[in-house]
Amino acid sequence: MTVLNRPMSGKPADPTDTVAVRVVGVQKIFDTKRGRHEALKSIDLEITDGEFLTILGPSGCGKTTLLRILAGFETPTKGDLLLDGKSLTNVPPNKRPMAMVFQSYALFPHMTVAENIAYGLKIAKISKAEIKERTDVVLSIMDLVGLGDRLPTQLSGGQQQRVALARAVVVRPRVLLFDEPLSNLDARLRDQMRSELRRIQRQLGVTSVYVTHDQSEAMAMSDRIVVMSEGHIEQVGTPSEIYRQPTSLFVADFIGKANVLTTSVASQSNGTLTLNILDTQIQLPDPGLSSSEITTVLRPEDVNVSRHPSPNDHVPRNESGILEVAGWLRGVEYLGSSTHLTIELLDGTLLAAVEQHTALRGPQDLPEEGAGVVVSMPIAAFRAVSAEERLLV
Amino acid sequence: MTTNQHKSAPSSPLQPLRRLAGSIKAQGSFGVAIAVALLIVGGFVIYPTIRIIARSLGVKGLEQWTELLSSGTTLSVLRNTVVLGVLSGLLGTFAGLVMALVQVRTKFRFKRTLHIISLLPVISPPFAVSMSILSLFGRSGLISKDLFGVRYDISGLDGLLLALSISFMPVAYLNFVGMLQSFDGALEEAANDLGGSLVHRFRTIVIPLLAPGIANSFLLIFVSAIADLGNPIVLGGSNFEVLSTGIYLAIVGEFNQPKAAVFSVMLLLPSLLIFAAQYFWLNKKQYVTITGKPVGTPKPVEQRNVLIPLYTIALVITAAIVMIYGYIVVGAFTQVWNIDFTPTLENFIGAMNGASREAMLDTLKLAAISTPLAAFSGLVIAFVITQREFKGRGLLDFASVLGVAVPGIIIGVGLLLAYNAPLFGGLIPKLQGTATILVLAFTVRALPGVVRVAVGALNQLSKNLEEASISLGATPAQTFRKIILPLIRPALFSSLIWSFARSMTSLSPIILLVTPEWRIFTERILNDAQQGRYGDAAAKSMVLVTVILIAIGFLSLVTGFKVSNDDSSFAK
Repeated sequence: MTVLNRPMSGKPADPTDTVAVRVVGVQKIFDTKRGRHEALKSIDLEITDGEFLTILGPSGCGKTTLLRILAGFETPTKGDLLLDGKSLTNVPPNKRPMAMVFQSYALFPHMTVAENIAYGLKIAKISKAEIKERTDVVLSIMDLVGLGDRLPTQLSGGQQQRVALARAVVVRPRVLLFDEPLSNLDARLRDQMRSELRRIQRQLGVTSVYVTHDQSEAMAMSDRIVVMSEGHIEQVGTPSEIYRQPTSLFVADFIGKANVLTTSVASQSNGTLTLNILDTQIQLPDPGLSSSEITTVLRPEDVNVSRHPSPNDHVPRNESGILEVAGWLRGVEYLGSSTHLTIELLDGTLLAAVEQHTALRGPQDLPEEGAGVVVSMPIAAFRAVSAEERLLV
Repeated sequence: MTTNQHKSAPSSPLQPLRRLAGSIKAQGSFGVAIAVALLIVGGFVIYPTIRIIARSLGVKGLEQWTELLSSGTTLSVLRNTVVLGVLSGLLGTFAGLVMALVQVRTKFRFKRTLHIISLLPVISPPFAVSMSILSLFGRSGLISKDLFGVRYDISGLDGLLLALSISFMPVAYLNFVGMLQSFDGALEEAANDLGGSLVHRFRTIVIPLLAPGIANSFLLIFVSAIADLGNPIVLGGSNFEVLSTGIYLAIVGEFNQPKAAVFSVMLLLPSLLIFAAQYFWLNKKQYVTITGKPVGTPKPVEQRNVLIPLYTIALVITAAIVMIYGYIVVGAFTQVWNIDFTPTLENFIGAMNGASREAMLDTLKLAAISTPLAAFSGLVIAFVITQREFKGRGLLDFASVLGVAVPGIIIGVGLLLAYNAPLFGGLIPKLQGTATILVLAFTVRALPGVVRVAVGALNQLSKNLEEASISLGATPAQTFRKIILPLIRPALFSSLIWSFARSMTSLSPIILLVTPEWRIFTERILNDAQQGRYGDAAAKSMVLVTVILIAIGFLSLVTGFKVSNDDSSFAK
């Protein structure tokens, strides 16, 4: 396939891979009417060749600014960008081998689908025959065959989305940039496009940077996720690292649901943390945090709930790697595939739990609302994280 | 990466200029365009205005200030101007609102006709209305004397009020039609569901939402009315002098430039104040935004107690417009307007031959140069204002629409004062008396309208389109040519028509600049009117309107665009 710029490579991030883009100490300050706004605070990041990297964060965290700096639409106040080792500082956006897919698609309304796709190739003064060939190939990859003569307004949202992607990949960019491209689609189409986008990216093996505020999108598509908050990077890692080993309360809270349990440090030695939690003590591996700012998080699916006739008589237990505490079931929300439970522990702490259902184990097997329960939580599921909001520099 | 880190020469007076130059340079190929735009606005709007102010503050100017401000005549001129402006503003706004309400909120059967009638004054030459009014209601007017036998002379405030409210009513009309159409019917329905009566609904929901439109229309008509020259010359009579005629007479009759400068400043002050208020205050207000999602259109009004007064007023306005414009046609085709009604084509033969023909050709030539010039520079300015970030952007935005606020006669005076001698040691030759200065006057006059139309069109373009093109490898210039220009072609067409019609019909900015070599058609019409040859003037007015309509047809043929039903782009 001549349209592909690299062989197939659905490879995960690997430190030995070559670095495609290096972001070095990039800072961005906007001068607004209300004063200076530091949108990015010295960002360092390496984007591996061929990987699908997602920048995830709430609105206003600087993720779009970072993407626009990569594209060249914004110039950093400080810092540098290196593409394959060469600085991009003085390269204008149209000379950067990157193509962007926009949230609004930004299809040219006065051009047909084929003209939209051929636009970048015409600009690059590619021969008519090759333009035709490459356009046809990309139309078939994107499942747009037969739509070449339509105007963008005559297409459905999903089709427009695919044209936007086709227009970007056909120029064989070194890096593909996505600015929340799925957020204008309805939920069902979004899920479908999500896997399609991922399939095409794998097929082409093109290095991709994808900005979103949707954590499930990030989890489903990415090789690696960069979680951002207030202009800095909170954590970089694979989706399971981000989910299972969050390094901060922000990450734990932003990705998925997390129970946050207040703890105090009893002792800290030899890489082991001993924490006072729920009237008992547990020991966790020390992720290297300073002792004053530690709290623990626990995913709801790690909380097991079973009936207990008299929770008031129950004494918290920590045996064979399981922590057992009693409480009352305060809320039950049945969602079909699972049920969300809210438990009030004896000391007043509220705990969220999720019970997955199968044909053999349904909601009828769960305690009813108001029942006395005991919850068991594997110690290995607890994660000590930094509790402090990062100090604003 | 700050590119313009100059050596910090402490407090050099050239520092801001150098920074501006640096930021223009950073814009690459657009730098040139920005520089041209700044040059046009700076050289032919701002600089002449400054010259007027300077002149009025010179020794002779200051003498004039003391003399004029202590004379009763001047005070009455000032009072006349303000009274005329305020009353025309109120009447014109009211008339426009009524016509717009009938157009948008009723089931009136001949809406299309009504729409055209409401817009008729847009393309008529500046004082045709006045002549017709004088012939109908003047001392020996058809209606006042012949029909009712009253000895009533409408010239003065009464006539001017009628002429100006009708002339500027379309401004308000288009403004209100646009606003009423974009109303969210759901709002009103909600109020209805909550039990509000029609009148109550109108008072509590419609009027507050229209308030910015009312203020806007009033101010625009006020500024246009006090700046108008043609109508007061014809209709003012001997006892109703306003500032604009004062300026005109000071230059043409008394050769007293300092006096003209002082009058100009008096006229400029309220115009600029209102403009500034509008620019900084009204523009900031939240307008109804068009989301593209269908909103419930409000139900047409059907209550008779509302419809009857509404229709009555609309009928009176329509009748007045039809009568006044119809009577121009009568005057054009009869021997002596108002006296000898024998049909004749003599007036037209005169209008299309001799000096009149030359004036028409001259005007067409000048407009043929100024039209593309205004359209192009207006587009560039609009593009720069909407799509680019650079230092001085706000200034350019402000200055380019400033032309709206500066009355035409003042632009004339300013150009006269600024270019009556060579500048920069002969680098810029004396422009007074040349065709160049006439073209410049036309261009500067048409510019704000073009900028407004183009800004409106460009603001509807998402910035992402430009970025998408650039991200696919196109240069900014390629992007402009291949993406932006095709998408704003309708706006381009509107701008061309606008600037052409504006050039062909404008009088006040060029009346002081015409020379025997370059005659202007509107000036010929005024000349006829002043000498009482109303029939000739009426015929010429009709010729002018016909030429404009033909040109519009020609333009739409060439560019492949129809004049859309939505004429709102012509507002203001």
